[in-house]
Amino acid sequence: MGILAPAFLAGLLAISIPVIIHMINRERRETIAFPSLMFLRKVPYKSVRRQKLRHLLLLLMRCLAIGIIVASFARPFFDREIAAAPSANDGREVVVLLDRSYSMGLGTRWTRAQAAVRTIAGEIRANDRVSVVAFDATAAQVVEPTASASRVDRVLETLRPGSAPTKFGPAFRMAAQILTASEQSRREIVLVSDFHRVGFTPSDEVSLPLRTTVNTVDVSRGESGDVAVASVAVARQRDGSRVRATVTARVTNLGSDARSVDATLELAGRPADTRAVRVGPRSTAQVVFPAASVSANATRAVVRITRDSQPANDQFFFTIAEDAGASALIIEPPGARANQSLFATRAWAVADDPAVRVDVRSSTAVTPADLRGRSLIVINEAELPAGAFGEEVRRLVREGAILLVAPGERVSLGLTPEWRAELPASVGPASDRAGRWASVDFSNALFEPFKTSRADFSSVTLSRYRALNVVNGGAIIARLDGGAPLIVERAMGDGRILMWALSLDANWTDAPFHPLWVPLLHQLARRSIAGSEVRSWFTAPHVLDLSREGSVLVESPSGVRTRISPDSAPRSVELRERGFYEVRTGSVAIGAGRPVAVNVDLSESDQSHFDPAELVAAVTARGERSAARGNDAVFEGTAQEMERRQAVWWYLLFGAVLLLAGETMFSNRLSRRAVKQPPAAINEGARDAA
Amino acid sequence: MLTAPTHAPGAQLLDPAVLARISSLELRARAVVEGFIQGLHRAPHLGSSTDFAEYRPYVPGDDTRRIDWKVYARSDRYYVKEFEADTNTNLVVFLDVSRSMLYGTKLQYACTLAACLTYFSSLQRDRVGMAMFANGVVDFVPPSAKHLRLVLHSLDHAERNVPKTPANPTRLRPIFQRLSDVVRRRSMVAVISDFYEEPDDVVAAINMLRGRGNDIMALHILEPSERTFPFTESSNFVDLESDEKMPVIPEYLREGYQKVIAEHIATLGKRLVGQGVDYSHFDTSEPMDKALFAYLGARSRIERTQKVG
Repeated sequence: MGILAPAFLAGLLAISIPVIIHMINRERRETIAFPSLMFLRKVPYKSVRRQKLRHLLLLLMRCLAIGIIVASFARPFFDREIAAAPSANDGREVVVLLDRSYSMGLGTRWTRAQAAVRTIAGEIRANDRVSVVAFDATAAQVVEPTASASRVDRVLETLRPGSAPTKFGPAFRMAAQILTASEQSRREIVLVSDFHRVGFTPSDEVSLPLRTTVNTVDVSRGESGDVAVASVAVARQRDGSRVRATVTARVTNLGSDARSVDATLELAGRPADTRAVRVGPRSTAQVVFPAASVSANATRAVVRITRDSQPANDQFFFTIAEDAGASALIIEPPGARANQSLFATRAWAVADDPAVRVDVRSSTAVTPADLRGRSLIVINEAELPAGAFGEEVRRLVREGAILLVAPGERVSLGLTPEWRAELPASVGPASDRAGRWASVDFSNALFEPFKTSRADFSSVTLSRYRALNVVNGGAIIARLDGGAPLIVERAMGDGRILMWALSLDANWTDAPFHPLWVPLLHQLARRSIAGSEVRSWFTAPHVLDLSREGSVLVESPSGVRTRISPDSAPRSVELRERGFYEVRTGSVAIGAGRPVAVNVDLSESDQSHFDPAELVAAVTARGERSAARGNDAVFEGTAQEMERRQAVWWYLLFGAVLLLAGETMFSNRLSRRAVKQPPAAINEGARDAA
Repeated sequence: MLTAPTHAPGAQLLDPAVLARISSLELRARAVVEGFIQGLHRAPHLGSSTDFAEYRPYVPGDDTRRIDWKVYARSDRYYVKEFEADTNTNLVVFLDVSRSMLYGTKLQYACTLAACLTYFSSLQRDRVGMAMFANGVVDFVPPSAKHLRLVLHSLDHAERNVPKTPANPTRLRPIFQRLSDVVRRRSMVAVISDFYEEPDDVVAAINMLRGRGNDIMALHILEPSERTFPFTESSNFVDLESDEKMPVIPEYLREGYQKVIAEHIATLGKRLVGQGVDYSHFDTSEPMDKALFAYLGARSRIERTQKVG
């Protein structure tokens, strides 16, 4: 029995109210002098006692009613004493949670885990049911409830440790589903795992059915950590038309002893270089491989170290390709000022993540060919292009590019209907009102990097600005201190149009001299290629979005093929195996598809172990009441059962209402039985004498 | 035989409510008694002190004034003329002034009743005396033909003799045992009390007074509320004599109490009458002529006894 809101128990003090009233009434009871009590004593006293008892009963009813009301507000609940619904079946429902995270491949853990599951299955009686849930970061029921140990054994033979890290939450939730659906009276979970500390976070919501017993089998034997390739970094250098890449691998020793390993870089399946490296205990060393030429297409690359007890983290898969980066085209008006685009071009020139290629063209000299491969187009105080070129710009934006319009003083107010329908704001006259940059919308992707630090843009001052009148559902993502829009944004196809109320030079504002200027333009460039960049590797498990692809065929490292057609849903594939997935589109030949590298989560390599009882205590949320018996514990019930256990407060409240109603009737009945008091004169003399 | 007129002239003066407005006890008694006598249509002097009994020879020591000189002239012998005993008798009122008599108007009623009796008796040329008792004898006026005013004075201040503080309840037997010693002549004894004692104890106590041939009148005084118990609110009832307290819910006790006290009155009357005692129960709301009739009845019995004797 527990209480959810014990603070309400302070309300029990209210019980003193009827007691005090009772005592006050008792104190104020009239005293009557009577000649002799000898005849009163001869009257059977039980009637007086009964009346006293009735008054006491009334007092008790009132106190009890208050007590019950207070108790109901304190929300009592039963922790385990509510009897389970009678079950026709007296057998056990055993759910085996088998950890198949890649850390289970360390040493003989997996063998011990299989043996433990076989032992459990061997103890299953005819009226018992056992099911097996294999889990890593996700959980899957691999054996439906059965009493057949051989069936469990057959499935067990097909299971192997995966490439994902341990997550206990999904496994317990699936076990809860199985147990809730079960009609067996005894419910049991057996967790077979190496109990990685990273596998469970207290925020995981685990709610098991009532009276679920949890047994744990710990297959770890205190193995120390091994050496793993933590990550790689690829530095590209353009050498003429070729790109040379220098690979730097970080090798981490998670054990307590210094280790020496050989690190080998493989490019396109061929060893490129091998380096010996010595890594101290609990430390990391870097291995820099010589620069190698890479092709425009992604090249498969692997860094391997000497195989040890945990092979899953001895290889690191990644791809090397020419960095597409971002490409910006700044269009200036004829006769532009000398430094009109200086601050933008200098800011993007120093960008490396991604690198930004910047070209400046006059609006009179720009051609459609200049638009090829551009992810960012800046109209810097030039008229928006009309005609076919304008249409080409709009197409580019619809395909995902960003168009930044800085009207400055030169842009006329006359727009073509095509642009008028697309722009997020119409441009008003220039205002001479000085002001500051007041606020930004940190939820917008443009300001995402500044969200954590809550960067202060208010120190940016300005002397003039063009009024922007929001149209076409444009969103104001930055404002001036007077509330006027500073940046207005609107989606256009897959791309976006941003309108900037100032110029891009220092004529109207000191923004180019502000420390936030360069990061802001870098973020703009980064955003212009968002979704199109090619990541060198992913960490399993990862869901690869293929919604921009047409019909594709995805082949896993183990050879499993998954076809994603334009009408299939979801248009994504889960990357669960370490190695290279191959994504092929159309009629691309086998082996020529786009490689996608997947590596294991290195956090699983950390052999930080924790006590299974601690896990049990953590998931119960009230560990002290989990009554751990060895490795056993009783979990709280499901949400429905918890609600049912707490529902006692409704009954208490209902009981209190009934009690108060009874008290009212009882009290009224006593009052009605009272008759008029005799004339006071009768007792006058006696009272005087008394 | 004397019969009580139902609407005797002046009978309204016997109404306690009317009497309560008369401050002087003597005046009150006179109003009652004379009104009562008018209703009887009889001479107020009912004594038979002039009745001749016999002659006897003179012996030394006899009062020479009682020698019948006419007989001496005829017979030359001294004869003393004897009358029929004493024409006057004693009336001694034993008045209960315990704290229980303070309840309501009981004491006032009892004093008035005692005054009426003594006044009426005095008119008959009887000797009147009075004793007040509570936990013991607190006042005593010996019987005498001249003690009417003394008795009335004592009655007038009866309240002073009521014990100021509660003590043990009154026990009649030791008190009456002592009083039986001080009543030396055969007397009419009127015991006025609320008799809050068991009937056996009351009878035993009164029997103590019957030793000298006294004629006993037991006048039982009670307030109406002592019989009907009309209280409603639950209260702490305090015994006036012992100061004991008792929580009482009247509505649940009333019926039983009425039954118990009715049994007590009936038993007491039955036992006392069986012992030859004139028992009368008085409600303080009732007129007092019943007491006077009781007195006359007792007195006539004494006269008859004396004549027979």
